[in-house]
Amino acid sequence: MPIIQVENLKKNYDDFEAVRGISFDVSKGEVFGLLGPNGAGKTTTVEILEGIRKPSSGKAIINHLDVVKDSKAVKNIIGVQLQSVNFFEMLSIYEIVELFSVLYSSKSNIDDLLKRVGLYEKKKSYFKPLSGGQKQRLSIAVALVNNPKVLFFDEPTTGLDPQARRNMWDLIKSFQKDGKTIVLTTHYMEEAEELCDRVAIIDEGKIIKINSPENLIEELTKSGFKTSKKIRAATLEDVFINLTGKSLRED
Amino acid sequence: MKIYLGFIIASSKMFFRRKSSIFWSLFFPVVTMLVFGNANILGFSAPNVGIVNYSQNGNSEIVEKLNAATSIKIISMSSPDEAISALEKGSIASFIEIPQNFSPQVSKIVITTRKGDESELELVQNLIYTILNDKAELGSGDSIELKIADINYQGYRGFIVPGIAAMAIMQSGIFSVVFTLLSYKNQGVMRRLQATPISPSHFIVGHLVSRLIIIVTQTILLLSMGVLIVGVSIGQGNILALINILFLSILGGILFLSIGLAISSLAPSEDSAPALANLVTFPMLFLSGVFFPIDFLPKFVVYFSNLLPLTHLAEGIRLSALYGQNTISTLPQVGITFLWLIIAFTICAKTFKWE
Repeated sequence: MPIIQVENLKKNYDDFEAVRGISFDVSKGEVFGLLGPNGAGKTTTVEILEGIRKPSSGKAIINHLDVVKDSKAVKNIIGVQLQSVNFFEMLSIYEIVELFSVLYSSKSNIDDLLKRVGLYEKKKSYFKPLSGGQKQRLSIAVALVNNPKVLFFDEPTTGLDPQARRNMWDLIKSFQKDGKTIVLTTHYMEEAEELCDRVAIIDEGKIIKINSPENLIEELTKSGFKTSKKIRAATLEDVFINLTGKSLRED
Repeated sequence: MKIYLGFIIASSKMFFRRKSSIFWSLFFPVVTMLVFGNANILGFSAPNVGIVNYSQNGNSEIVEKLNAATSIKIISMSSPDEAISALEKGSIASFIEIPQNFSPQVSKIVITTRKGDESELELVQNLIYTILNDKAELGSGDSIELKIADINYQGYRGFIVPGIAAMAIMQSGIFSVVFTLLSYKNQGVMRRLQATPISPSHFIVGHLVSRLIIIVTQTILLLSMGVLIVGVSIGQGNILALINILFLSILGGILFLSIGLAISSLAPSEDSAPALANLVTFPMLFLSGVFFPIDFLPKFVVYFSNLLPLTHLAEGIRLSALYGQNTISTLPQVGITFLWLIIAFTICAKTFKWE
């Protein structure tokens, strides 16, 4: 029994169809990627699952709960990181996590959460002056506040430098080790390859293909496709990380 | 309950950390009050003299001459009660009673003014002497009786201090909601809250309660400054009057916070919300009797003024502050403020949206 079941989900805005009948399942403990260009309908799909938007038609079930009818119960078992990360500007990191733990009636230890995402030293700092990577990590800490079964990450590494991006990858992998199910959207293919067990490729509101990254690559090469890129033993990013190190810079 | 408390604490922290909010809701009204409270608004009510003529058609000569006098403005009144209440309000500084078929040998003209305004008596007395002299009835020194009514009139400062307190309730109520919600919406905070299991009412109620606490504190602070620095007396020793002021500031606070919420929801675009808020508050600043009595306005404007909620809130606070009136005796003001509260609250509850 998959933990997330999506059946023929549709969302229309006036005369624009953002999502045109999407169906997929996600198994417990899986990292599932939604890939697609900007405007493909990734965020709308995720926001319907998070209970922020109502679908025009179709059905979505998370852990036996209907996301529309049992919206409140669903929100209690999921952790959410939105695409544009924003919190109250005039509260400190600690106060923000504390406030959200009250909203989720959760008893999580806030210091532990902050340590886990590497923000413990900054806990007294206000939200406003934080770097992009720090804001992302704060929103991860907030997403973890209710010890959720399912985590939704919407473009978690967009705009981050290579160090911060790798740090985010490590965090996401550690959540999978904890047994959490993760749905993430991205338009970085190397990110999907690194993290996702399976990916759905979405374009114009429809899923074109669902499979594991390895199978998708194999399928393409079997069809006789040859990349025009030269295959090298390392990428430019490897060079960059090798020269500048893995440690985070923003602190 | 914990959720409400969480939002109340968080909202209050953010309020006190933002310098602009402190400036507009505390510093600005205090300064306005100090400036106007100590301003010498010349001739605020001095030229207005009430007249009660007990003759239907008689005494026309005296009345005509008084009307022709340029140093005062005569306002005709139907009874001494009306004149006393005008004295209390400050729309006149003294009034003249002319008995039926006045004749200097048998009857007396009575001039009444307030304590501390004795100079008014002299002005009016001299004027009447001049008129009587013209009638060649000199030597009628006893034909005028002078009275001082037991009215504790505090002048313009007494008028302005409660007025500014009411104005500050409106400004804080409306702007603290419009600007905060605007910034939350722009920051995308509302969307993140929407993803939590709470209902919108938690957030809204928490925010409103934190602002309401600030509004009541602000009222207390402003009136205390009025007593300590401007030197007016508030409540006239009547504890029920002070309670009524707090009660009115809570009613007014909820009323204007609701209007602020309704503006945030109804504004066609986010940027137009502050403009709409100004459009709502600006007429009330000048037409609701904050800086001067609405009696000074043209008649047709007074009808409009009486439709505005701030008019009644300011009047209620003023009646309690200056004359020690309690909730029962200010029932019209309390009632209309409450009616407005219901209207505003219904609109804001019906129109509220997360984004």
